[in-house]
Amino acid sequence: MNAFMTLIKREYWEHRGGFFKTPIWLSGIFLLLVAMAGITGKSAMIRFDGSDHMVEGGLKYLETQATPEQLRMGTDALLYGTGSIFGFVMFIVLVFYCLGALYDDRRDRSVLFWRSLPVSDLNTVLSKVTTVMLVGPMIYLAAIIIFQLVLLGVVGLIVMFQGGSPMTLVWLPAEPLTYWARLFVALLLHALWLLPLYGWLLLVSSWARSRPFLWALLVPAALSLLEVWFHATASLKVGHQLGDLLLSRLSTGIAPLSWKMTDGDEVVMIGSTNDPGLSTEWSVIMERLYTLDMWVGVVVGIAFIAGAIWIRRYRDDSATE
Amino acid sequence: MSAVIHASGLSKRYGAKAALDGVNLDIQPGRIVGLIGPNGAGKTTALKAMLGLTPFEGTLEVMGRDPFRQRHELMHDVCFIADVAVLPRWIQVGQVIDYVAAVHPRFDRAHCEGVLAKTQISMRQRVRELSKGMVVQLHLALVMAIDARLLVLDEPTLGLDILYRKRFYEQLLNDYFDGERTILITTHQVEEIEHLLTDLIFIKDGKVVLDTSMEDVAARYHQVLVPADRMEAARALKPLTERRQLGRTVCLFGDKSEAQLADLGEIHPVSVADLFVAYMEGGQA
Repeated sequence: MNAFMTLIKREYWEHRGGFFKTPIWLSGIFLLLVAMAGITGKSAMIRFDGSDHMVEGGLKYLETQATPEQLRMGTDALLYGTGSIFGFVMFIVLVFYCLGALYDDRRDRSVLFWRSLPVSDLNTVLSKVTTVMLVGPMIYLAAIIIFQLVLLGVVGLIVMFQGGSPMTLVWLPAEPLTYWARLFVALLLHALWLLPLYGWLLLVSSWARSRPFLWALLVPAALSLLEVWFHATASLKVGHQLGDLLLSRLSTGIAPLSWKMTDGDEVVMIGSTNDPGLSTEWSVIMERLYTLDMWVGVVVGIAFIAGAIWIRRYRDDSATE
Repeated sequence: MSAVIHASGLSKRYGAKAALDGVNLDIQPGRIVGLIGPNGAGKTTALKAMLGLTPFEGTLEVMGRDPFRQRHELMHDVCFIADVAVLPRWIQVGQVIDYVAAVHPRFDRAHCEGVLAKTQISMRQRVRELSKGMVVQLHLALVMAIDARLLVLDEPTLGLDILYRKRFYEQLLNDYFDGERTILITTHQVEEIEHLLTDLIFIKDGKVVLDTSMEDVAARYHQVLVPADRMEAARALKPLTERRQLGRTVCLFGDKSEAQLADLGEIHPVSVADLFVAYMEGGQA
């Protein structure tokens, strides 16, 4: 187990840019924007009631007229909004992590060093899967928590300097714990939801001799095209189904807690209602677990990962001396 | 004790080309073996097969294991240094030590750090910040701290200057080799490793053309500086090669007694490089 933990640490060492520096930069940029908005005026607070039109009177209006429910929706918007952007960035980082995970060391030949040590290829690949599914999301969750604690403090201070009460307007109505708990579960479910995509990228990363990014896009695209040309019957449309499996998951939202739910004919975009808190009730978050789509994806994802392990294990990569 | 490496009928094809063609080998423990051959002769393929990096045909056992089926188990007992470029460039010296310490049960961290303390390398440096010579020092420090039975070196000093090359082999011989371990080396720079080898294997076009101990080389092969008037007598004994040098001819003989050769001219011991040229150019033996 100690050895496996070290394999995970190795992943973190190599990708410190994406897993450590990126969230810090992101936090810094956000805080800078908030501070600038706070300095330049009241505009930052205007939409706190969740409606689209400007409210005359700003903070004073909020303090006297807004219901507690409206105030909570305001702080929720702050939490969900910034959290979603972290989630989006995390997704980009993880996609490129997967594409390089089993390719970069073959390109620079360091694979010869890694494979000269008594580590099985199974564990090597599993350490990378664990990093994508668990370590990456949990690092970003921690970054979101730290960032949002600072954010709530800074927003409270801005409200205070503009003559409002940070307690009534920000700190008391905010429910960060609820959000973080939901995000924790949503991140894990989201990782499971995206398993076929991550698995596909790992498989390409393990297989491609060059340009894994291009291959990851080209193979499903080319298969789909061939099937269109040859009028493949629906049951044979492997490429189409592969593309659909990967792309439909992207179109339903790549940041956790902002995905689209298909409920019969009705498509509900979580976070699209005025009250993000309400639309991410536990029951809604967990709903995805009970869909066939989810588990088909998991099975396909596991198959892709098994393929990645097999290629890593058995392929002779260097046909020349 | 049984052979560390045993190969019989070891073959490997890449398309139509046979990289290894029915290789038979037995490498005993406690030997330092040079695997020598021109580019494309199959040296690297042979090493890859032994390290479990490529599938093969025929029989190959390393430490009693099938390397391709049991690669990661085998790596408990086998260390491998390819050329200097294989340490990951992004990793810090301290991190690579932590990593090997965690995954290799036979790694002696204190030993590794002790070796590194004698160099310019510091724990927080990244591999990309080290010179080629320092990278190979680091790799050797890692490997020397592993209590392995077999060390495989594939062109370990490629691209290094002479000082680092000399130091590399000195360290290997003085601080690592203990008479029980086995070292298998491939290199182009035959002259530099000649004095430390105990055994010699020549490989050409995927076949083993010479497999002998260094004592045997000294006993079986001789070079004679033949003056022009003795050349006819020399040719009668069928030298393996002849080459002109400063007005005299250097003839290389195999399996001739010193008594037979003494009246031809001055007898010299044969170097591995000369022997290599004889085998690769002549094709006879």
